[in-house]
Amino acid sequence: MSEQSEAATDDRSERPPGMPRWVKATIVVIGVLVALFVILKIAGVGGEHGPGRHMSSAPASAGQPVAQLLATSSLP
Amino acid sequence: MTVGPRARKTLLFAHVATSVGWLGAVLAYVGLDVTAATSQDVQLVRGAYLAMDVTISTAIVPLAIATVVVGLLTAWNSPWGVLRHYWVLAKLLLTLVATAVLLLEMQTIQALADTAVTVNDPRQLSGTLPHSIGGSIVLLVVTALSMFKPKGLTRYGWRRQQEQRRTRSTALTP
Repeated sequence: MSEQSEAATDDRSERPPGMPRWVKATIVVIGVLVALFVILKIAGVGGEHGPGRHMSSAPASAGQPVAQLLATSSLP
Repeated sequence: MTVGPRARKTLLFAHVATSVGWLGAVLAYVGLDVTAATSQDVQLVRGAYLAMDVTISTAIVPLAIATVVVGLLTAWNSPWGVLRHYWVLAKLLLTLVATAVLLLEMQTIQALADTAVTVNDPRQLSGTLPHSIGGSIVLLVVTALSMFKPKGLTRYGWRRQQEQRRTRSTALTP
């Protein structure tokens, strides 16, 4: 190994390594996804996000007891 | 490193068992979620929501918490460390985010199960499929990171490595 390349190796090991490419790419992808989510939320696309979203479409049977539901079930 | 090789191996075993167990439980949950979202059988859909609630509270959440705790202990007691390599750091962040989302989602699933019992037609409930599929993908990514260990030292890891090299060369100098 030449003196110059030895010096270059020493110089490299004295400096902290940069962030690997796969980490940078992951940060960019996550950033884009978060930005997209925030934009969609602000724009109101996709509706409410949370427990209420899951419940909104099914009307409750006004406290129909479980026993009654099971009694009317089609199972033997 | 503070524990011996046998304890380290036991920790690694617990880490693999809890994290792979978590992934398996989530995949079983996805099966129930798909059933709840697609089946036309009212009783089967109702049963799927109830089973989702049981699976999440008795298997998924305990395994997620165990994975975080055991994973941290394993990393602390291994040469990889917790903050030295980007792949370990990425795993930790993804696991913490997945656990946080899971704990938030738990209330929704309990409410879904309660509603599925009381409504006439539980097929109208919207289910949790996007969350469960997203969670499975995150856990698969975490498993892939463990297997492939992509290269990359953090600044902290690099500093620790330099310190260790200096200590070693000082010890070897007569």
